[in-house]
Amino acid sequence: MTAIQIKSIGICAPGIPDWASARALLNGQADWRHAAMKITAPDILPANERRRLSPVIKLALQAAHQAIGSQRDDPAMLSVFASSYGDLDITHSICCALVRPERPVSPTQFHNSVHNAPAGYWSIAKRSPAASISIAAADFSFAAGLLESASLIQAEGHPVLLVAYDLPTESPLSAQLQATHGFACALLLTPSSSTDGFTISLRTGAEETACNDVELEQLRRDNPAARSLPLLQLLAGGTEAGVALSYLHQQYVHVERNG
Amino acid sequence: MSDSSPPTSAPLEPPITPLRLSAYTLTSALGRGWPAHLDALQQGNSGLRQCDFPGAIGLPAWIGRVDGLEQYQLRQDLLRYDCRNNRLAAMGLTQDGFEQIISAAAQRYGADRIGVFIGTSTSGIEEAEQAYLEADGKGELKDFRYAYTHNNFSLVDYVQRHCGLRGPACSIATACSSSAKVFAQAQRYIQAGYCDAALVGGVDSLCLTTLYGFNSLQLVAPQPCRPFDARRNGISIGEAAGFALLEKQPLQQSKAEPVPCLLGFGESSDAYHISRPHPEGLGAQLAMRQALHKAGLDAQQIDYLHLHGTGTVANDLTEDLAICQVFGEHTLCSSSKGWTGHTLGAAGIVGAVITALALQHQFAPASLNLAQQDPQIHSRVLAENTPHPMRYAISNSFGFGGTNCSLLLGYV
Repeated sequence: MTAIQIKSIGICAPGIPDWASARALLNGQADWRHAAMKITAPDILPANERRRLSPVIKLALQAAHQAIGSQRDDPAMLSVFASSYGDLDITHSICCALVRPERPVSPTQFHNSVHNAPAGYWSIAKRSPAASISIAAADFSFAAGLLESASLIQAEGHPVLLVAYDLPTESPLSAQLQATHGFACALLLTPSSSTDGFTISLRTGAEETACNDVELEQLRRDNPAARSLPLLQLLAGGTEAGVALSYLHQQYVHVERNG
Repeated sequence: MSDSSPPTSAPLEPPITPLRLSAYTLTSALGRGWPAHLDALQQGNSGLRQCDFPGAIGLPAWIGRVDGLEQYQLRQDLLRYDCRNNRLAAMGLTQDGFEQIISAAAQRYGADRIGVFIGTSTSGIEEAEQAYLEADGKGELKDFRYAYTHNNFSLVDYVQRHCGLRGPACSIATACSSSAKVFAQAQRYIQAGYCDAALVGGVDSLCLTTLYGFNSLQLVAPQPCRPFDARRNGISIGEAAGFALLEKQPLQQSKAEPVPCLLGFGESSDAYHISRPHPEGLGAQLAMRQALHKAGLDAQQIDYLHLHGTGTVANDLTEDLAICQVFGEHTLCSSSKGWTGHTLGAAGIVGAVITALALQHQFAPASLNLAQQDPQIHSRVLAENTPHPMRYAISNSFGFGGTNCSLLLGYV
């Protein structure tokens, strides 16, 4: 069990460009309408660097930047990046290059292909020497990222930025994926005294929390990073005492209100 | 203390709870199981060979290839996970009685109380490469099971099923620091109570993506890699599977020989460039200092440094600068990349196991292929195996994205 506070939120999804719009949808004050995602790299990196970023890297940085905004850089802020697919557009390009006789793999694509590329660019943008971890746990990547963040907060006592993102590809690899929409969210988590904030725990035997809205529930099931939506629903002003997010082997990551 | 006091350094935290490496195993180009590694190290036999990897024959490179993977068969019930990377994982798990030790640990703790944290950089991407080759640009990918082979988590999923474990788990993919960071992660999960013990490790296998990717960055040496040598000119890529069981309970005091423990770890980001190390090795310094801090040890107490030492001009130079800043020029050190090749996502566990072997057998292995040390490098890099009393050692792993991890292993 780990006590945390959730200080700020970023989100980038189809028809949900930011936290203000997400809150209205999750509160039932507005209906979700599909709209193409606008993925733009935040201007936290020089323009020549931004041009070389893939859509996946841009998406992760966009959500992270939304959560942190113009807050002063905190050199102690740790980060957790969670994604199931990584960067399949780059995989596609590299595999296409490998089919050609000269195997002309692009050096930029190759170094951007690592799962921790978004984390690397984030640390460069924020000039942050702090530790960062990039993980994958299939459809449970968001819950795993939350557990990871909780264990980091408990061990180190520093704020943790959790970024979860997954973007389907238009390449032939898409036939292998369940996701049809992109989704990214970022949460700034900080340590908490047990009288306020939330408690994170890992337990068996629970019922997974779903989204109240039918269409948001479809989005939740579509993309591994969208499995965060029930927690976002709670943070948007939901009245529930907590949420249970599916994790491996019939276990659940519980997030419950303190006090 | 009055409010006007000048700021002081943070109070010293108590060292982390040590975790025992109660079992470990390693499979690489040096052979299957840790005795094969000890033997090769002591005999001076490198595992590197001229590149003969299918699809990359003729590439001017040397590789650390594990023999027998092409014929290796996964268990019947896990055939859907079949790919080179999971075959390597299976081969690794079955050495040194490791799977039996895990099975016994599952009996003691409960299968849901053992975490599984495994590092990889490319997982089973070779399956995607093959599917594209077979599709020949015609779109549809046949006989490709992405979720079971190529997806990053498939490796961890495979290891959990192979071992019958059902605890917390995830795959760590921070390029070449991946399977060092798993030790830090396991320590945190155990400390937080999310599990009682952990199976940690790393598995990365040869594929065209990394062979031609590093080649495109002009980082592949046309002969066996020569870390810290004046004429070094790049890496040799290898493949490996390594695992360790981490437990917190102290061993029953007995006549058994002492077991090396994880005493500290440090993690940092260069925040400099996606594929080039910080020119002064600032991130590397930070990681090593943190590892010392978490163990409550001074730099002077460290007997041996297992270096990341890839054999690229930039890595070895900046790592040396970092070593000299933190430890001075006298600590014994070496790189194992000339033995196994750079095993990328498995480099952290290769480093950890070789460091554990060095501790248990009280010798610092040679940095193979070091003929003439670069005059710009001032660390004490060993060209020969060196018997040496050791209690504490550090193993470094650094990766693309500017990620750094240092593990401090030793005897409590």
